[in-house]
Amino acid sequence: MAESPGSDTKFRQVFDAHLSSVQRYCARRLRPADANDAVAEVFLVAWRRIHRMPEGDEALPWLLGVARNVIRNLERSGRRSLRLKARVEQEPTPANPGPEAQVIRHVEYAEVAAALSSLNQADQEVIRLRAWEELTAPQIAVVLGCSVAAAEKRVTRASQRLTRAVERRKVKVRPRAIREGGDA
Amino acid sequence: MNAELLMQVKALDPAPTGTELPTGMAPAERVLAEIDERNRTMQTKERVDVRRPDPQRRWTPALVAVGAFVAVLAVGAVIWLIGVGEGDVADPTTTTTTTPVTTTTTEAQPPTEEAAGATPLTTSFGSLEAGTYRLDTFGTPFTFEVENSVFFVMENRSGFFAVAPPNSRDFDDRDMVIIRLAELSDPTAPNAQGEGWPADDFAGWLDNLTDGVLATDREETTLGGLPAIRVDLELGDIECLSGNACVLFDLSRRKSLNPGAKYRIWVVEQETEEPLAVILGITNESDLAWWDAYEEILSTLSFLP
Repeated sequence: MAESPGSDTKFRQVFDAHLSSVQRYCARRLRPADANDAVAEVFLVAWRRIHRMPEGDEALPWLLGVARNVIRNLERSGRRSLRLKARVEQEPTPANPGPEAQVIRHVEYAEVAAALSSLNQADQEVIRLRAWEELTAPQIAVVLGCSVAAAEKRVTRASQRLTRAVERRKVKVRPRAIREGGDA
Repeated sequence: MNAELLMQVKALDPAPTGTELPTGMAPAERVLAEIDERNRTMQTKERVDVRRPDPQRRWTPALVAVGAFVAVLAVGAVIWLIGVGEGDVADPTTTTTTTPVTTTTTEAQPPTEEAAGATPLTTSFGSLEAGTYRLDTFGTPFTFEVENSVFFVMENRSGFFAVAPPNSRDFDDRDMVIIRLAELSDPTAPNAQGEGWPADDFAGWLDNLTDGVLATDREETTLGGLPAIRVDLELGDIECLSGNACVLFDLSRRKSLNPGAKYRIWVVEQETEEPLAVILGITNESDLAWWDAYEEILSTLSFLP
């Protein structure tokens, strides 16, 4: 193994192939400063466990599983909330809304977002892995550390609960608005 | 998830694939430099930690030396006392008796030949004398030791074993139930005859558990040397399925959880089979000592190859 992560061939291959996906995963769940912190931590873990890291198609779900744990640890340690608190104290008027808030420009999206955030954390994560990371059930199983059958069940249940939550908010599906989506 | 709803959730994605990364995300070179920096810091810290023994370690040689010296003195004193005693009151007719010293351990032990030869537990209703037993009705056999003869086997059939004090009135009255899981109940509605939940996803079951069932002290642990999740459960405000079974824990053996009772549950991963659940139940807070008694038995649990 090379002394430095940057000069190790296997690490560089994994890093180059999956950096963007890991960055997106973290950026979707954290603000940029925390997301950068988490990304570095994920690849540091990957570097130190390079011999145990799966190769090929399984590498990304494994990295996302590490990212999930890193984010949970960040949240657990309270560093993030302390930083947020400090930031709020310094800036009474938040200039930069959170990652999801930036996207919610249509009322119908706000309703779906509200329905999504009404679910428990485990359900929200499953839905995001399916919709945002576009993972399959076997890949979700790797990220969550459960069996494929369990992952399938979790996806089904979380989807059912999201549908019910949306229905409760009487959200009408507007495919046209979605297709135009983006930054509109 | 239906396609339209999936699209709507996708539209909420703050960093959609195929678009530019959100502002503020570091470029690859900076991430690599950061990893390098953190790696170097960790290596330095590790080297320093290896060189610098912790305060406890620094004391260890001194403590060992003092301990050895005290032990030598003690042994010398005992030998001297025995010598003096023999010299003073030597009596060939005196017989000496030795008291057997018993030691107990709470660590789970690996299977031994003796454990493998434990008495097969075949009784389905009867008292459980002190001894080492083997249960063969669960697939992979397992053994456990009972030190006190205060338990009574209430049920013993394929994949289901229940033990309690002889005067236990019903399930949950100071009992321990062991079941081979095949399917957990629907965690969102365990009080309904719904679809089940995979037995090998107890963590997910707990994550999705309805507010009507209160879970506390969840802990990842081991039982019989295998990974397990331990949790305490009791019912809160929840409508019951029926008078006899308020909430179902699992659909495989239909073990129920009932109002007023407290449960301590372990779900133990198995190498080739579905998990094993161990459920301790009490209906009075004053019976908590029974959990200690059962945990003593569980500390001797050992799965045979």
